[in-house]
Amino acid sequence: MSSIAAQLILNGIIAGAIYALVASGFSLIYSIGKFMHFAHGAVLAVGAYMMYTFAVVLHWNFYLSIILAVLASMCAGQLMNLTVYRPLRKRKASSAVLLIASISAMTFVNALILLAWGADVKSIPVTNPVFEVLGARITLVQVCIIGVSMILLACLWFLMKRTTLGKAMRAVADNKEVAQTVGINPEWIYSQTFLIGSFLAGVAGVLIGIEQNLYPQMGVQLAIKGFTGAIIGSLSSVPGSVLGSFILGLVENIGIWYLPSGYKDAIAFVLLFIFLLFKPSGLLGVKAREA
Amino acid sequence: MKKTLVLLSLLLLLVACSGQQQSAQSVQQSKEPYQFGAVLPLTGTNSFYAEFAKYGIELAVEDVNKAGGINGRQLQIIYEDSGGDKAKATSAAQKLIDVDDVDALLTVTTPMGGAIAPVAEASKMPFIYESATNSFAVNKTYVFKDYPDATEMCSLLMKQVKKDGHEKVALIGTNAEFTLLCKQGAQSVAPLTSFETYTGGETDYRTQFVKIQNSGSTAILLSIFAGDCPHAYKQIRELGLNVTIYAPFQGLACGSGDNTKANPDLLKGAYGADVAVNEESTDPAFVDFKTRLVARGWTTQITGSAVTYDSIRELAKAYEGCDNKLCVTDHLRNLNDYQGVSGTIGYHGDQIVERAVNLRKFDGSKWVVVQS
Repeated sequence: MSSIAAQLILNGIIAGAIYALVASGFSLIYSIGKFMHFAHGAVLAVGAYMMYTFAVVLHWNFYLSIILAVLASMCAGQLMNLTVYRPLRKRKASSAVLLIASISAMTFVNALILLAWGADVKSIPVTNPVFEVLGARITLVQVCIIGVSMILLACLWFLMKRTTLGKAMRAVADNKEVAQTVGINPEWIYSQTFLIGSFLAGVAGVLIGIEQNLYPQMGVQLAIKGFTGAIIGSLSSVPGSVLGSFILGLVENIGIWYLPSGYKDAIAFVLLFIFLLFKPSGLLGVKAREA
Repeated sequence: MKKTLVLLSLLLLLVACSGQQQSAQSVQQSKEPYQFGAVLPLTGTNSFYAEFAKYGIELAVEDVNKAGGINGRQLQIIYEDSGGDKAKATSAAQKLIDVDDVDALLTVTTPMGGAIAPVAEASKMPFIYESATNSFAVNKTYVFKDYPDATEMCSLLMKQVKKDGHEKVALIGTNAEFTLLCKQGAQSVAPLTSFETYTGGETDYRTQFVKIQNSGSTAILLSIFAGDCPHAYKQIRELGLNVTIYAPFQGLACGSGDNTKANPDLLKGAYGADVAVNEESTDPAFVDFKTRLVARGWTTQITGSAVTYDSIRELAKAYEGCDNKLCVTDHLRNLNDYQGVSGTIGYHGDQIVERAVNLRKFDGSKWVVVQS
């Protein structure tokens, strides 16, 4: 394989892994909560900025900073669930209302980030050696991103298929009322879902913050790409959203090899449009049974 | 009869009082400060531009007021944040015009200039934008562009590229008009081997750089917003691109202080082009400006602050002796050979400023003017 082709594919995989980190948490929360939690991007940004604060501003141990940053994301996500979404769920708010609330929450958190850390681009300096693979170049952080997205996917699969919590989450996703009758507390399940989803966002925020630098809108851009990847793969399937994200990353990067590079976003949205038109349930989604 | 006399007296009293009130209001109005509206990307990825613009503006306001103001009236600035978003910029400009009733508008960067120009022209509001794109001011009466041309900068850089012996040259830039103007300027000297763009806000340009690498280019023109330069430099380093960098808008973009400090290794042999401000100048007015700027610890973006400083001073000067906005635009248009802290400025009967550009070379730690 030529080194250029290898680099292109690798670029696509790296981009896909970044989108997959975002899409997995997004998709998990959608599949259980049945609404689009766009503020997932803001939770990711919180993780990135807390990592910057602990590791760069306060000069704490790098690995301790990672743990604390992820915990901070989990707290931010859970806080959103308790203060924004739970009160709305109690009022039997529709998915559309929850979506609007999530956009508001995202805007609010972005404004807080701006206030606290300012608007300039920040970076988390790390020793980041470069490796050559089949003539293509990849950094250690990029390898970690690809590896972590695979490991997290595997862990999520295990959680959902092999644990009691996973079974309870699937039960609530299938039918909340029936789940309640067998003693499952939906609100407790939603709490766990947000904790796990925000954990994924925190991990994504830390890795992406190191890889791409930090800026206040980073969560918004990533949420859009993660959402696109999730739609392609299947919004209600975490493996599907991960697969869709990798497909998106590859199509974007290989696409602009042949087309003018300014069309990168257009490629992503054309792909999204094609799937919405011909396979709205996504690659791994199941078509809803008609009544 | 008595009643009529009383009523008549009351009427006369009322007329006299309203007359006095009107003249009091006129006196009050004439004492009210002039207000210029500044729509800046105070937040968002382009906030870097707002930072130095604000510092230049504030120094200009201080100096205008210290010199007695405009027509005996003080000057105030009202800031509005565009967040780097065109829709927000348009709303902000509309609010400044309709609600705050400002006397002039100012903005920085191409997207903001493009968004506000139609609003300013329709509202007959004198408006200066600082961007490398001319088209927003063409065929306008109230819209003025106060920054050198991207075409000229890139043409100057391309000449240096050829002088340095590079046969294959690439240009990568934000998907905006100033990048197309840079391409035009570069290609007026020699053809480009590769031309790549990215949408503003994007952070992954790896594939674009791979295409440039594949083209065999040994020189690269970076027509990129300052906030995107850290991403570009990171990816150039990671992909191991062996290229010499040529940076249009050097002081305000990829050759800015922070970008230079973080990437001196990548800037070996680099050239930049920007508005012809020699930051080592010993001109007393410039030295005073620079000293005051740095003493306040505000910024090291002297060039950018100097340009906005002069834009405010130009507007203030244009308002001298004018009682309407059309007069202001006539004064601006006929501003020739005005000595600002950022050099000689002249509109020469046009909406687009003529400002000199100069070439700078990176000497390992800072940018040094090599040619004007």
